[in-house]
Amino acid sequence: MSSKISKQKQLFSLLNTKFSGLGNGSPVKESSANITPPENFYDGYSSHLLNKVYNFYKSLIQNLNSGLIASDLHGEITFVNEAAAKMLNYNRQELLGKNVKDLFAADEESQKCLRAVFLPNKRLNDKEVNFLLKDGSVIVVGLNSSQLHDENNNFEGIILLFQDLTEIRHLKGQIERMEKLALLGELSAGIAHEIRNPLAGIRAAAQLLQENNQHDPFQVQIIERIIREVDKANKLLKEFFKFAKPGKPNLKFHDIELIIDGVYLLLAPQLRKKNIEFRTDFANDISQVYVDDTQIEQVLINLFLNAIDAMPEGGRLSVKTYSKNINLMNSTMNHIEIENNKLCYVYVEISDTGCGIPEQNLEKIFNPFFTTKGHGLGLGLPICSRLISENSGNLDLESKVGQGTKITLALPAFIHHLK
Amino acid sequence: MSNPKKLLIVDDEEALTFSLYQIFINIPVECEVLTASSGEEALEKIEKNHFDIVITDIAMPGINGLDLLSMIKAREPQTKVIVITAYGSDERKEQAYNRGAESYIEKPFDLYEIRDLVLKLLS
Repeated sequence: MSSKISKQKQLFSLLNTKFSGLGNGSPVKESSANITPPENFYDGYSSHLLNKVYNFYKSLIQNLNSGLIASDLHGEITFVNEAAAKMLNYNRQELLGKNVKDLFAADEESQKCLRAVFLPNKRLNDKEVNFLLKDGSVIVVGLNSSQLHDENNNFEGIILLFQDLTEIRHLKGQIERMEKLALLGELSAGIAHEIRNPLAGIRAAAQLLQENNQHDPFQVQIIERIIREVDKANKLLKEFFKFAKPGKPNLKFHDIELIIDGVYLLLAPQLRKKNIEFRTDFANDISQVYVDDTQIEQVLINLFLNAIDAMPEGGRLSVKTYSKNINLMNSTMNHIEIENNKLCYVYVEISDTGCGIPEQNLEKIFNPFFTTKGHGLGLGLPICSRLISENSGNLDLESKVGQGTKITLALPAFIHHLK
Repeated sequence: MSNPKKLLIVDDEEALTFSLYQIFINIPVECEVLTASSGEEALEKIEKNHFDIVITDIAMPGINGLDLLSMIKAREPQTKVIVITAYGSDERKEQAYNRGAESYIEKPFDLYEIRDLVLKLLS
């Protein structure tokens, strides 16, 4: 081992001791972003090397995505990292000196958690709790805790590590809704199948009648009507099958921008005719999405057509893409298997400046056959929702009457399979 | 004098079987038409007859149409099998063709289209 590395190892060990000593009795309150260790730190070691190691640890902690808060034995907060302050909408100074119990939205919950945390060798693992933000609003966090010990292994405080679960919870809710729809779809597919059988019997019998009544044009006409109505019912059922039992997705990596451009080219004449401006805002270096491109194309066509219908006097249709990583503390996606546990989603926001959807209809628009239009079966959005679910994605909708509608698709940029 | 052709219709939906029977007993080709309302009944008739064409539904209690198709092809590879079904899935369609189906027709269908297909296969 080189003398340089050996010296660094000694320094790390020394600094570990020094850091734990800082939390003992007299908490260090960080007053600025760039902190220099106290003078007596150096003890003959190279100041440059010490600084380097110190800043390494500092950078490690300050750049965590998770919130990290340390407190002494009385619960007084002695350390806050950037992520913690940001998540709770405070600046770091404001949190120092507060008590950890003030972080919790409910007294009962704080008592229960902190009682456990301050017990010897006790840890909290992935506990969902409600934390209070500066403005008094509440977020759900996943909380882990561990204990701080000094160089003599004496218990001197606690560390809380937490993540904002709001988005994950929202996604979970969406997934549950989609799973319910999928179950409904399975049941409905069975019913649709049962209806098509007697329809086949009616149609065949009507055609036989027609053949045997060629001499009577009136009879032939009536029988034609029967056949037409059977075909209409069949068409409805075929559309319904797309919702109830979409085909198994053929999953591959694709550029989402290419799929969007393809759909735009298909619908460009309609957009021009209706005087609708089309705008895109694609993020650079976005990951490819792991989806069935034909199914996603179908979803986009449906959504673009809905937007066009919502803007009969013209308007603007905007499509924005960006990507986001989601950290899951435990898998909330029980119906899919994820390789490598890395979750990057590509988001596609489709916004229009159309008439918007009344609030009382927002829950109903994903129900099959619900429609406020004069035409169509009311299966467009249920089919979109179902197809997105089959591709392990998520569909979210916001709308305001008179302002427009925004639909956000979250598409996986990672390899996955439906269980 | 050539032997008359033989056609078997297999479906548990009596209304449809009746209409198909009526259409095929009147085609301009000498053809004996038999019916069965289950996969098991179809197999009994297949034991005693050589059929030129079998038209079968998929979803039947007992032996389903796809398994019946496999059994027919194993026993009589020359027999042509037309699958009719109320299912609309691509997977079942693929399965049917993989097992040797001549055609896969979704219900409800045009009676004359299926008649024309049978005439084409019998010629």
